[in-house]
Amino acid sequence: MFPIRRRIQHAIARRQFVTVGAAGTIGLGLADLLQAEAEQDRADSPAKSIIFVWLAGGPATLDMWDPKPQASEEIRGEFESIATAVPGVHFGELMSQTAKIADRCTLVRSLHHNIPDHVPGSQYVMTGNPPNPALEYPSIGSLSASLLPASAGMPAYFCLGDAASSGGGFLGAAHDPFRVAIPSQPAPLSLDGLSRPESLTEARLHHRRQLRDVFEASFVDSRRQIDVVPTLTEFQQQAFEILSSNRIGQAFDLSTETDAVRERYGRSEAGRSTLTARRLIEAGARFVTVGIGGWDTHSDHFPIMRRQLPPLDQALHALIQDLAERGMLEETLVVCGGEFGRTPKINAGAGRDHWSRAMTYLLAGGGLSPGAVLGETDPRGFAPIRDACSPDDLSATILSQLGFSPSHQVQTTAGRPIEMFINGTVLTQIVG
Amino acid sequence: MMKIDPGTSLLATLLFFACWPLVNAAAESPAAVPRGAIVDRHVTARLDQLDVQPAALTSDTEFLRRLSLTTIGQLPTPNQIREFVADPHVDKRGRMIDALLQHDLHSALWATRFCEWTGNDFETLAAGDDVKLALAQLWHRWFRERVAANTPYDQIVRAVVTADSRNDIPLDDWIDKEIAGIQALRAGNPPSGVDRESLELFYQRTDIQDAYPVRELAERVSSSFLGVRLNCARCHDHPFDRWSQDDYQSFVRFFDQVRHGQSPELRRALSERLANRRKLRARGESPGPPIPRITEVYVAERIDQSELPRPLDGARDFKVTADARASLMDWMAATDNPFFAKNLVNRAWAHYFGRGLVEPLDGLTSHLDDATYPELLDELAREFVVSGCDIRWLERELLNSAAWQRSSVTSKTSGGDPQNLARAEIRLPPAEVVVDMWHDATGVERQFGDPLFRGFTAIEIGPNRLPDSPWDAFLDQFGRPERSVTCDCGQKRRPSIRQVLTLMCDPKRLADLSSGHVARWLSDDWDDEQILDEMFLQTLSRWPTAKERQAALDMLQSGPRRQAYEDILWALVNTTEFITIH
Repeated sequence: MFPIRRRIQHAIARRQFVTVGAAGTIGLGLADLLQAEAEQDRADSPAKSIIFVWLAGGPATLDMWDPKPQASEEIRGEFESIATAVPGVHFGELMSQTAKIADRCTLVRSLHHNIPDHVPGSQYVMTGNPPNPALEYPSIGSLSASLLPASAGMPAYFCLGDAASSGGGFLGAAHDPFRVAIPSQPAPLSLDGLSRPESLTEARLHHRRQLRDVFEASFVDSRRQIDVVPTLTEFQQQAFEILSSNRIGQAFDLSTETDAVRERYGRSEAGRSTLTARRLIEAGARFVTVGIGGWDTHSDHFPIMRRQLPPLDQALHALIQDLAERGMLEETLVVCGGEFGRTPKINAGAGRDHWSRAMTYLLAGGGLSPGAVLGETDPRGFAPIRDACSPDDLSATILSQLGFSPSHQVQTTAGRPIEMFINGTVLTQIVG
Repeated sequence: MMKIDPGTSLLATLLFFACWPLVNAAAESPAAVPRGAIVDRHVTARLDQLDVQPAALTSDTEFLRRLSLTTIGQLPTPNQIREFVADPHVDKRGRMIDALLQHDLHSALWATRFCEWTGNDFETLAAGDDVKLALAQLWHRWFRERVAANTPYDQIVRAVVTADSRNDIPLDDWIDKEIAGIQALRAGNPPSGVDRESLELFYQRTDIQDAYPVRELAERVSSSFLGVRLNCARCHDHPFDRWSQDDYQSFVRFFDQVRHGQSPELRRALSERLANRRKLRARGESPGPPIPRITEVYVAERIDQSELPRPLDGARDFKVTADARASLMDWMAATDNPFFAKNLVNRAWAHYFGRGLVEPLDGLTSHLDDATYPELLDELAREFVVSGCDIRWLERELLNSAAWQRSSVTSKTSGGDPQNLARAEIRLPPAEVVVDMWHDATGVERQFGDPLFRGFTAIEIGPNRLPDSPWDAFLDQFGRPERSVTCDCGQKRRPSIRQVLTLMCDPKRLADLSSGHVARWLSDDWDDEQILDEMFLQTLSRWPTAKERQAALDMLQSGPRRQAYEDILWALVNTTEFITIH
């Protein structure tokens, strides 16, 4: 008669067993049971957290990580190609810093799909599933954060800057990221609704909490175990932990880093947000999406690239080196790319247009093979000629590095079980 | 000082059960049956059979709060609570139900729901940016006016499903009317929805000529008005339902004659007008104001007669009218349709009880076996049709039942599970209602960005985007449904840490605490006891307990009075009791 109740009780028992001492992440339901079971199977997973540097608008990866020096000038463009730390692998000249650490990185040069439109294209790459009006898939960030154990006083998933389709989808708003806008110039951040504002002193918050607990008790005492009450109680406890520990506020406070570190990342938006991402991961976040815009270069492509690429190059180099030096790179997967690449052929306005048939993704750490290069595009960069792979495959690989099977089942908020990447195959060639 | 009145509730309970024999002897007509009797007959039989003791009826204060939040989306005011509790009449609950079902905001809450079902979606509405908000508002108002007039449900749906722009108005008159309408819209003065016979906005979507959105409209009609999720059959036969791809495609064909743009007729008429203007100008006369771009939703002739539309479970030789949607609607509204009435009953039930008798709400065929009370759903659907698809009849039937009026507190034998209806389920309100609750509780003025919404509560707005309003992000956090999705897939409201944090520490919300009621109470020179009563009634819809009163008074002793009141209000609005319907 009460199958759902039984499942929930079972889930609670399992959850207590699995996450003793750590705050759980989501509400009660079959999802928790699936999560609890999954957690037991992933003790040895290589990656524990992820930083996804999202280049919104679709970057010309041809000019970055897959140069075509042999092609005609209308494709090759203005940039020279340069050698990297991996023999035989060349980058565009503006990626000179990452070129030096190419042997720490993993390249996928054969990613492709068929949606050269920003919104649905982002949806596809961010969620690892083609857009579907019947089902709004969660972003890989929401999915990962919902599956990984959270740490007390720290939300699991942040999104810095703008990144389309980075929300919780059918997992519900509870799995949306904590979004923080990063100003383009160094300026104070708004952490409204994420941390205790100065106007609310610690002492006052403490008094308010005590009074609230008195008011809370009259209603909750007789209803402790039913419906949304236990979930709300748990979230309230976690919120108090977040507010009193102020770990979010501290993670966003870059002034505690030395000048040397801040210069290494650069004071650019890319530099400040990647450094913040590293600090958030250190503080216990599991997935940080760093959205950097300005890649939709339909005209004046080359001057824009000369402005955009050096700070990105510097930031990626600093991030990967810094993670390695801190012993975090093995457990932290860095992913960088956008919703599609750009047309190999330069258009009449000296720009490059949308091109989803071929793009490169740069990855590093998280148990992938350092220095590996998967796939290859034709000499003009139009399409993969070897090891072509899809956004589904990329997402399946990320999920697999976190210790979950690509066919891992999750539940929609309406209770329907969904296999996550039904068309995704793990790219075993690049797994270390 | 406790003013919760167990006496009245107990009396109501006793009276209710004293009426039981009458129920069984009642006549066939729904009007003669005591309200709520259908629900309680099924529920009591089940609970008896399970030997489950239902929870007691809820207190008057909790009843009023639950009723007010679910019927009009607002918290009761302190004075309403005082009057209701003091009202000595035994039938005061039934009369309060009637009163709130007639309330102006009752129709606004229904209209918000209809906007979700019909996909009043800012992203897909085909209209210029300058009039989009106004049209999305009109969409809401169109439903609101009909619900307020208690238009039978089937007639409302018919005017959506078979909508076109002209509604048989002569073309030239229609063009004149449309020009005037566009001008009014641009002036920020949206026309009333009453004189629009049908809701053509439902079909006014970007790219409707492409096959893809037509499919989405079919999926939406099926999900929202038949409770059947067809989407899965788009690409393959439905994995756990009886629908095949052929069923799917046959159903989609009902909508493939709809167009949005300019019919050949309209194009001709407009070019005639333009030619006239040129003539006038050539003669040196003023042609008058320019003609704005006019589009319409119209129905094209069916060209391919080889593959005709067919309703779900419909006969192979189903007869189709010239506009196939009309025959679809006839089939839907037929008294023996297996889905149409049941769907509305289930959706209304989900709204009032927190979950449907069948879940998901568009699982009427796929999940019928999991229905908690299938016979009750059947009977309510039948009687709903007998009532003339009278939405308020259905609501009165649900709200007057003992099942709806139960407390959420579990007794040992009432079981933890609210599904068998032995107790009420505690749940989160819809996002728009949370916004209104917050404003009611803090007493700050409502401002939702665009001047179009001046003076509105959140449930009166309509569009699913509020440009330039901080409440837009708030609504997303509290689970405003994605109206672009054509099924009931992602619509469950769930708590999140984000919601909790927003109420606890967002500087904008913290500022609300000091600027509304608290400022007024202090300037009105009330004493502490009075203010505390008022605060509790305003937020939790009840009086404080002795212990709570003492804790609040202690807070008042410990620091500046104004600051202490902000602290007390903060503590109240951050309780589970405040943020839930219970």
